[in-house]
Amino acid sequence: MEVTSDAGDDACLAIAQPGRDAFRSTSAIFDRSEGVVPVRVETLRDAGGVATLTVLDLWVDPLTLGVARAGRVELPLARIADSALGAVVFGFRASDSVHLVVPASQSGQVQTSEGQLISTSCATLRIDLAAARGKAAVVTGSFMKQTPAVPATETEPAVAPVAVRFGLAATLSQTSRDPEPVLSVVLRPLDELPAPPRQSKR
Amino acid sequence: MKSAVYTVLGLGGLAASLAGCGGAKPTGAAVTPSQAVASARCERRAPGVGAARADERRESSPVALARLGSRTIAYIADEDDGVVHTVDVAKGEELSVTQIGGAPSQVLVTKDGRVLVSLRDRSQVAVLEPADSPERPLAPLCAVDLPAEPVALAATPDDSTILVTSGWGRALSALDADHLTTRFRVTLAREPRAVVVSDDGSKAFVAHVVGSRMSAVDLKAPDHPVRTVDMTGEDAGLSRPRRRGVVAGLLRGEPRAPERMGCQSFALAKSVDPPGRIFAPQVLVDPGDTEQSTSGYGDGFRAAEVASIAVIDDGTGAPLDSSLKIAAHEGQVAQAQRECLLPRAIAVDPARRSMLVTCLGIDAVVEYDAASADPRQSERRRWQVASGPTGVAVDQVGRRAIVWSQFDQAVSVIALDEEAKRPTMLAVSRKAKAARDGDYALGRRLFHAAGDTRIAADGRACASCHPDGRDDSLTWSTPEGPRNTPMLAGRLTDMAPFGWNGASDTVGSHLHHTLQRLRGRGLEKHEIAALEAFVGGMRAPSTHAPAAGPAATRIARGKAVFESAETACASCHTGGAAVDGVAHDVQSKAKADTDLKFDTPSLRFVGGTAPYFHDGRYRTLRELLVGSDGKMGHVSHLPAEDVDALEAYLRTL
Ligand code: HEC
Ligand code: HEC
Repeated sequence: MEVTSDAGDDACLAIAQPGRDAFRSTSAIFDRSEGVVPVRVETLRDAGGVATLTVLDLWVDPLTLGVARAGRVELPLARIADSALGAVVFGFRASDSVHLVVPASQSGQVQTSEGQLISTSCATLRIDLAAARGKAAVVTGSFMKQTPAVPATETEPAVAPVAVRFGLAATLSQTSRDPEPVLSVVLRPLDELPAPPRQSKR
Repeated sequence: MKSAVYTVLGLGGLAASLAGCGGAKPTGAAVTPSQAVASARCERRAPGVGAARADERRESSPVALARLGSRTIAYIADEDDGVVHTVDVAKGEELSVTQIGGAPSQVLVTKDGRVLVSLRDRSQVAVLEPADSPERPLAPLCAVDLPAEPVALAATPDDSTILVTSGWGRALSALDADHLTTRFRVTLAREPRAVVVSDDGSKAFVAHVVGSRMSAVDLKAPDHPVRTVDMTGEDAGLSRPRRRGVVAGLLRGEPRAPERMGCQSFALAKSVDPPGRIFAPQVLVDPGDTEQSTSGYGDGFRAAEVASIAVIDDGTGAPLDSSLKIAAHEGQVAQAQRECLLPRAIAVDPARRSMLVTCLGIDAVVEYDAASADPRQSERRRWQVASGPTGVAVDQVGRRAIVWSQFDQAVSVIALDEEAKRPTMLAVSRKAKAARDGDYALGRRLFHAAGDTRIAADGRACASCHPDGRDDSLTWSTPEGPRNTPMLAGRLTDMAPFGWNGASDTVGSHLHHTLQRLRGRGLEKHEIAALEAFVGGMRAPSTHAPAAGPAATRIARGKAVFESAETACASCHTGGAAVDGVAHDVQSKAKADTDLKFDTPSLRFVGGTAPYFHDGRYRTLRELLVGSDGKMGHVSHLPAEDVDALEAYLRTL
């Protein structure tokens, strides 16, 4: 059975169950024999630089198709990193952990230094970093995102969006002198864009 | 532009304590301070005149900054020409040249504006002061004698003490900042380089090029104990099957965590934000399973070398594990052209919360996030610079990085706040006589050419295993068995044949084997010749001042013991450092060895090349003398003083 959120392309579904891979998608597939399954639907809204993440927790019964709402929160997000070509990382902090929300399109995969994979095929990549003194969290990887379309102006032609691969490295660490864990997020395009055509000299 | 000529004078008869060279213990120990070694008054003669220290950086580098009014001045140590160039950073213009002589390797500007220059080959630090105008050369004040090969300097946070490391002399000397007299000195492990002091002034951290370690020297306790910080890395989530071949070993479930030895730690920097992190660019090396015969240098099980930037907590003195761990998905792929396999200098840029690392071989400067728990993964930007970048400094006011490239003798200036801008290049004046002969210069570039797949498929350079022309202190797995890397500098002339088995009559023919073992595509004939010219002409470590008194007597006794018929040492090691050119069976065959005979090695500089034997089986000379008795000469009949004397003699070769 496949469940799709009607919140549109911006929503990401994940089954919040231990043992399941941290795979996020626009839809989730259930086995009817599984019984009632907890599902989390996250929707990122980025309105003029003010970003929020809506987290909706549901119970889904694959047998009866019953859906019960377990909770809903709206989290204001901080803008943590920007890169050339329009990639951005949002996030929020909760005591000793930091949670990142990365708008991506098409696909993305990051991994922890221990080799645990975090992948997505929906609109956002979600990374949770938790650190204790002397024990840092490191996540690295890449994702694809479309560059924004640029409309034509009087002098310049329109630029169509292109899919660009971005590299992401996020770490959270705390040394004996840091009062709280220190976050580092580096975001940069990995693909070189084709150089704009040179104006022909006459 | 004017220039002055003067020579830093040595101190006739006043030998600095060479405890660093004589100490048998691999770990540090405090030694008695040697007294007054400055040859003239080292204090400023014209206080307050000329440029002053530019910022809070208290560590030396081949590039150091000073400020005079609104001008940023860079002092650049030029080892090839024996000069310090004074450059106006904003104008991109050389202002003056100070002839120093010797090999100026790093510069430190003190709080009162004096310029300290380490002279590796003369075992001195030259102390100079600026004139009222930077258009005039620096004026010499004094020269301070130090254990062999002083390299890096640092001032303590209160500016009361100057610390100097001695690379070949294996020492850290603490000098009074005003008079440059010695306060204390400690013995360190092999090949110390950069030094930084913790923010609270209690510890000095010293980088070591080899040995997978850093030293933390207690500056406060009366006997200044030295603690070793282990810089060994690890391949995350992986284990190497041990001993009986990969498959059989796996089946037998005999895992061995693949350890990676920290190497190439030349430079250190201290972060400003977040505070209290020490950055140590290095390379994590897997020399392969030496109990197997392999098809090259290393067993190809994982990438032999992966760059890393270790982060050390200056409070606890321990590295963050995350910065020494190679993620499972990484160890396989070596991005030959991009890896910073020969990091040489580092500077922090507090405004951008970043650090800049210069990479020899790929001629790049790479910017990393200074807040990262694994900075190597957190690369922000990189720039192509002139060839041979060995020094970098950040002009915080002008928002520029000033990079010194030794091979091109050129300065690259990077505009830090402008995206995607190429560095501007500035050539400095060169001396005609130092325009080295073409072969040597080409050979030096090739020797440091990381990322050149003609030399090694995975981008390793000669300097990866022979840093500064010496050795990495590692034992590599090879087709012929385990092979400890030999030191090259000053040890090749008249030492044929080459290789532990003596398989090559010339250096050139040895290099053909080298490229095969590295799976390089091959070099042109004239390039091999250039490499040969370079390795043959590399500067040997400066030899120690001749010993006097009881030490001299002991060394003379050691020489007699070495040459005696009973020990028989000189029957193969003819004339001390010289060799008979013959291979012998000294019962040293290791499991993976294909041959049981080894060419008599040169004992030149043997005191500084531990570990010993072709497979690195002996960690110290003492271990060797005891362990090889009866198989290679005889020592067990000797009284203890004679064994001491023999060891002391070996250390003078
Ligand atoms: C992977 C580490 C490694 C690299 C890279 C490497 N070497 Fe070596 N080098 C060694 C080892 C180990 C030996 C001893 C080899 C043997 O005995 O078979 C050696 C031996 C030598 C010798 C002979 C020294 C003697 O006293 O017999 C020379 C000369 C030399 N290397 C030069 C070079 C040059 C030039 C390059 C670059 C083209 C290079 N090496 C690259 C590890 C390395
Ligand atoms: C029969 C010839 C022979 C005699 C006699 C001999 N050596 Fe050696 N020596 C060798 C050979 C061969 C090696 C290299 C062995 C190996 O690497 O497995 C060696 C290695 C060494 C090394 C280590 C060099 C290095 O760089 O690893 C030292 C030190 C040394 N010998 C000192 C001595 C002393 C001291 C004596 C006298 C007590 C002595 N040797 C007697 C042949 C000899």
